[in-house]
Amino acid sequence: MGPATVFVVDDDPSIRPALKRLLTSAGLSVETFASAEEFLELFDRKTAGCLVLDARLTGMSGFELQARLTAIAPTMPVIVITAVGDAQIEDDSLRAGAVAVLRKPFSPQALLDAIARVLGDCPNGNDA
Amino acid sequence: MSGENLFLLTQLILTVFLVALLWSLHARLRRQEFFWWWACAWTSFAVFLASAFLTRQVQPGWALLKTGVTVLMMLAGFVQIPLLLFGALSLRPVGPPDRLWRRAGVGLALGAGALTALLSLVWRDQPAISFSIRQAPRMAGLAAALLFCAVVFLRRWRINQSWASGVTGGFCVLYAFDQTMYAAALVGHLVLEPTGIPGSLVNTAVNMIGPWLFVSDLVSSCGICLGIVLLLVEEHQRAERELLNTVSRSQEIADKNAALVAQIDERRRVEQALRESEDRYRDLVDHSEDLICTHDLEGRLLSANPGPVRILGYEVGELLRMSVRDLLRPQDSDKFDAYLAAVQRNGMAKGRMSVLTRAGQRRIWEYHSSLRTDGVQSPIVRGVAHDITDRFRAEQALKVSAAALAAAEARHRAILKALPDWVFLMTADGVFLDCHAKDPSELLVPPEVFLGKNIREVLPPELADGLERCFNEAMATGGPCALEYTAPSRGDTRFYEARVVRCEHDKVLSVVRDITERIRAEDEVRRLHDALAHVGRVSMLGALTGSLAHEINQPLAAIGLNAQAGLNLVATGQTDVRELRDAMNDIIADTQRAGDVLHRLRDLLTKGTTEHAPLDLTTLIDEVLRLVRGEIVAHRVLIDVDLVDCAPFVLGDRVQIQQVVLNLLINAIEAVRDLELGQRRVILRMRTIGSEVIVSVGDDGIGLSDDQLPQIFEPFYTTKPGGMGLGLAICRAIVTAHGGTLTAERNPNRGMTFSFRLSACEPPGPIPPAIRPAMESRLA
Repeated sequence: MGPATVFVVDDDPSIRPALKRLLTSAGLSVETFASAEEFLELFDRKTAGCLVLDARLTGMSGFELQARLTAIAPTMPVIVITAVGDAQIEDDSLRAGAVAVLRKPFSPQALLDAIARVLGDCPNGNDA
Repeated sequence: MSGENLFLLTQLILTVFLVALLWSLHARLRRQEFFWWWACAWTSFAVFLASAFLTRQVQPGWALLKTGVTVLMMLAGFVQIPLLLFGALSLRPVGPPDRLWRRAGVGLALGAGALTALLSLVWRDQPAISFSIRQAPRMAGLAAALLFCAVVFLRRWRINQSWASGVTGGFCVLYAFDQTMYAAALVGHLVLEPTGIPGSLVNTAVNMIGPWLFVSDLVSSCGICLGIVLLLVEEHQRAERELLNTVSRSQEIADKNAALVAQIDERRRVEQALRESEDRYRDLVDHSEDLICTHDLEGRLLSANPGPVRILGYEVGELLRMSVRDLLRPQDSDKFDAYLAAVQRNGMAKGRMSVLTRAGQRRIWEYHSSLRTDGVQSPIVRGVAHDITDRFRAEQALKVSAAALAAAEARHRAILKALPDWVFLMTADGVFLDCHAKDPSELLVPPEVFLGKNIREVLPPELADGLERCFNEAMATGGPCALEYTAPSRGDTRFYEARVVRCEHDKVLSVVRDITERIRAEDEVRRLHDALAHVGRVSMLGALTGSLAHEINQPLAAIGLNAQAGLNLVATGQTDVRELRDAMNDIIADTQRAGDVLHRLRDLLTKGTTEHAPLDLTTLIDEVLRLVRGEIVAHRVLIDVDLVDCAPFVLGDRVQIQQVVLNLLINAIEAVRDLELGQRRVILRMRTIGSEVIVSVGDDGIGLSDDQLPQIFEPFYTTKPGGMGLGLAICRAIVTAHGGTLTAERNPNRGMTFSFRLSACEPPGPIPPAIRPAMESRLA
């Protein structure tokens, strides 16, 4: 088991490098994916960490990926970020087990806090 | 031989010579009858002499023979007398005696001969008496006959200057004198010595009168012989002369004949020429389609040529039994009377006449008639008439068309009067010739100022330039060529439209209309159109709210993240300048990105006026796709963008074309968003076909029914709950205003495809290099 990693799945070409840069600067290990399909293909389920997931993705949606993840990595905490202020999406995500839903543009600190919280809860979080 | 016998023989020879001469030549000479009678007379004399010679040779004892010869001698001697007379008579102008007289003369002579022969036989025993009786009457008769002949010859000598006649006549006189002397000697001998026996006639005469009588007798015999020869010669000469005369006369006649022949030839030639001329004239008349006729003063036809008669449906013979009046309409009878009266009064008449053919068709003849009084028993009228029916009809038609022309002109004047436009007639060079304006005060320049002047003298230069171009085009193509322009009028700027057409071949007609109201109405329509398009855009943006928020929130979030990352880097004291610079650059890029979205949004929301410019459709569609990307992602629609490699340009208003593409895309997304995941498929395709660009947006939605399809472009027709039904109507109005078409059709499987077509245009020059990379990156 390596250190906890933050997995980022977002199809937006601006958001992905920005998140990576922020989380790296916060001392976190980051892996970014442009789509849910890419993540499912490359994701190592033994790696501890959390998932920052964009709700609206081209191809498989964030909601679907969340459902799929419940089956393959039930312990992986999921933080959903969305650019659309849609209460329906927030409700669905929370019901599906998301620990937090952040609306873009969110405060970077709020995201860092949320990540810190979930990694703290996670078994390997202390390693970070 | 005794002297008596020699004398007889000599005389006989002379006489025979004379007889031979006369018999051989008499038939060839002109006075045949005279010579014939004399040939006979001298033949009988020769017989007499021969008989006398024979009686002297008869021996005694041959009394009967001597008697017979003596009788023959007497008969021949007496016959000579009438024969000589007949000859002399035939020379006289009174002509020869007729047959009765001749018979009587010869009979009388023969009778006298027979009587004297008989008496001499009676006094046979007295030889002197018998001889005297035998010879004296004969000699007396012979002398008388010779004297008659002499008279005739001498007359001829005197009248005809015939010397032969004179010689013959002279010797006849001498011979007659000798015979008279003989007879006188015999009678004297008989008186003086009645019983003596005369030896012979010669002896008796010589005894009585002397020997010169004998010589005289011979000389006169020879003289008569010579006279006859001379007569023959003279006759021959005369015959020759006459022959010559005849020859010269025949030459003369031949000359006259030749002249006559020439004359005849000339006459024949003249006659031939006359005949040909007559034939020519007859042919002309016979084949003339004009009527050439004569008629009497009652109108009865006397002659007519066949051509026009046949046109009338008659034969010439038939028509000649008719009157001209029979060819006329009954109501024209009075006119014909007037015509006849005019011909008689003036000697001629001309005019037009309506004639009916046998079939009843009316023909119009133009006639010219004149009266002929010379060379005819009673005056006749000669007439020439020309069928002018066709011309007459053409004239009638012309009159009708002239009336129609006048009516058309009146109509045109009325139209002109009712026309609110101004009409100018100008030369091709632009000199004003005529003008029609309802209210001349509205004109830029009053008519009295510009008429006769060139447009360049009275109109502003730009307007004159435009009009001149129009004139040239109208002269080349015939027009109409239109020009719109503005001009001040009564303190206002007004719009005018000049329509120029070529008129005749060297003029132009310009109809100028005040189109200010139309232009203003069009401006108003355009403004309303723009406003409506704006309303459409604004209402459409409602559907895009979520998407737009998404598009703006993304860069905003990225900016915040990058800024925080930068802060963190600074806070940790790391000096990784490269990372820091990347963060800053990303912030700038995202700011730009958010700004772009807002710009586009503002464009759509701005209530702008239509501006046409060459548009790069690829870029335009790309921008639209950015606007709807949020929707596409939110509804998880699969969008298949298929654009051509080449970048077509169209002339149009950027915002309005974007509006159309956007509207079609939103409609397509809305049509598929409720479908099963994975079936939400939208196809955006762009193609160029020829000079047209076709942009189509297809969806796999439920599509439209047959009832709905025709109505979808109608305003306020909608299939969407809460829709206004204006989107597609506005889209169609926009595309139509751009000269294109917007159509809707059902896909073969499912869903609809909306396509619009626009004409491609040239790109607006080289694209600035600064823009190109940005475009390429967007397309990538």
